[in-house]
Amino acid sequence: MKTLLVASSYLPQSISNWKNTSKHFTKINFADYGNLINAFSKVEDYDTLISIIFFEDIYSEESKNSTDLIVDSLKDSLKLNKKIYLSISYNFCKNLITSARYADYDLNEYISFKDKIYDLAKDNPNLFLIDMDKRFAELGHENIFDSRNWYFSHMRVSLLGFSEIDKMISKVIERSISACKKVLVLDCDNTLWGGVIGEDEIKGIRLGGDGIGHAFKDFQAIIKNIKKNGVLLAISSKNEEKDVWSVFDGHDEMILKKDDIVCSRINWIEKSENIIQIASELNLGLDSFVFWDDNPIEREKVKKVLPDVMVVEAPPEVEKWPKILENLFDFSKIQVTQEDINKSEQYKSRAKFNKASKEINFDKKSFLKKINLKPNLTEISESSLLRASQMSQKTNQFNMRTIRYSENDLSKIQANRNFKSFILSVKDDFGDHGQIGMFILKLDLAKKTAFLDTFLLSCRILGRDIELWMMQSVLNIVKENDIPYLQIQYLETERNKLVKEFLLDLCKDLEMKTSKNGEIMVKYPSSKSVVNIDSLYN
Amino acid sequence: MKIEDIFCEVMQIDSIPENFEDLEIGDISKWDSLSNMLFLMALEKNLGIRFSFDDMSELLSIKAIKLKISSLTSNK
Repeated sequence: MKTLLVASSYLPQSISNWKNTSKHFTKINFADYGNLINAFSKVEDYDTLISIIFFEDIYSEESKNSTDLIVDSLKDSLKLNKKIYLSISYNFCKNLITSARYADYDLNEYISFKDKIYDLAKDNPNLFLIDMDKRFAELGHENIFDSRNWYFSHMRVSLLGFSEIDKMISKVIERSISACKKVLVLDCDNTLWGGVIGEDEIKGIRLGGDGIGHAFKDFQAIIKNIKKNGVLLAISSKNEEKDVWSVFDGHDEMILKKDDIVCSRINWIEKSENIIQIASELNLGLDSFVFWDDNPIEREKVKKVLPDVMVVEAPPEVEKWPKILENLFDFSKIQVTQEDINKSEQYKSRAKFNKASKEINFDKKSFLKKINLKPNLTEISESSLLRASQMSQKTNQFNMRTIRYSENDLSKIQANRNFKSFILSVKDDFGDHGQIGMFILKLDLAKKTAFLDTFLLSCRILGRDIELWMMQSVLNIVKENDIPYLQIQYLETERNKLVKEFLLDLCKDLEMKTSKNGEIMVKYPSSKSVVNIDSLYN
Repeated sequence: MKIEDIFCEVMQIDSIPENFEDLEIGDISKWDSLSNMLFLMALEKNLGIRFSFDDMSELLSIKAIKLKISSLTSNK
């Protein structure tokens, strides 16, 4: 893509107005305007043709077949297999002030012209259609079309109109030369629905109905549509797997079904690792992946580790998402083949096979060192009481005993010398995660006992071994006080299986007392090391 | 953005001509009727003003353009 010929039904031939598009080319020539058919015949001498057509320039009631001639000659030049970018638009609003009958007549002619062009685009993968009508309608015809410019020099649009044409063409060029996007990887909480399923449960998440839940539902509808056009859907989310499927299977407002998802990684490990696994399962290059997550920290991480993946900068306003997503895949393919539709099924069966046959070796240790993770423990004080009680009240999944403390309770604990209470904050290269964990340790220096009263972490931080780091920090305090054992008690709730798995793994070579109600008791020797705290992140 | 800079950008020249204040259309090769129109439109966008149809055909020198701009902006 080097040399470009621009043929327009009428636009000023000045490079200064082609700021974005001109970046893609080394040489740009402008064909005489008005004579499109002549310009189309010259496409042979160039790598690319851009044509800008204002319908009213090429159509007149006196010579109705003039538009057909243009379509025919476009058809001929497409055979040369050069890339052709065609922008079409029509100022149909102007007809509102002429007679209604005339308006209808003109508009019908335009629609039939547009149909022919769309048909051409379907049959010719080298024709890229830039339908400006949508964009112009968005910005308002009054801002785009300029009758002064028209009477002064036959230029139909304003400067804004012109720069929009330039921007849109440039965007489509970028799309057409980058890898075709085949997989959309989605987060779940606050992406497919509002809220966190692990915390809010199925009744508490926002999906459908009135309000912002409706926007999430609309977002899902667009996703479903993209899937119909042959794009594969995958999930990478930090959740308990059964929680996610319980929404897919059990929430009436879910548009996406479990069947729509070709491949999923629902766990607590890094999303970049999950995406690598998904790519390998589907046997597709990472440059065909699009990743959508509401959380900017997750996005940054994927961007940093997997620069080939297209990471969508979703704004915080969910109501804007449906349109952003729709535009994203708008140009990728006009034609959908039966094969594309079947593809989803084929991939699904292959994915099943691959999942069973191989696991990818992801070097977690070097990843943790690369992201410069800095955990920090500070004793709970007046200023962190509120946050600490919030976490105590809200955290369900990674919570050892799920004892709920109010601010007042914590204030008493903090004042009591027998308790050591700490709040954890974490920073890494991807940002400041804030205060996301805490523990409370009850010491009896006379009896030499230590009891882990509270041990909790926010789930979004899991996958970085921070739970090991925090447990080691607890043990260090126990050791410093010459206490031989830390007593750990796990109290089972409906939602804290995650922390149980952590504990079982941690204590796998120790004696554990398990009760019928799911309670577990362990005496963990303070001399036994969980993890080397100094070398974990450095 | 200054008028001088807008001029340079539209005309695609690197530096402001020495006799800028006295320039008229045609004095430099890139300033023709088409680029004049683009220049006037760029001024409109940058300064938030609007030239009339007659202005578009009459404003053919830097002096005339600056005079018109000052009258348009003082009326605001």
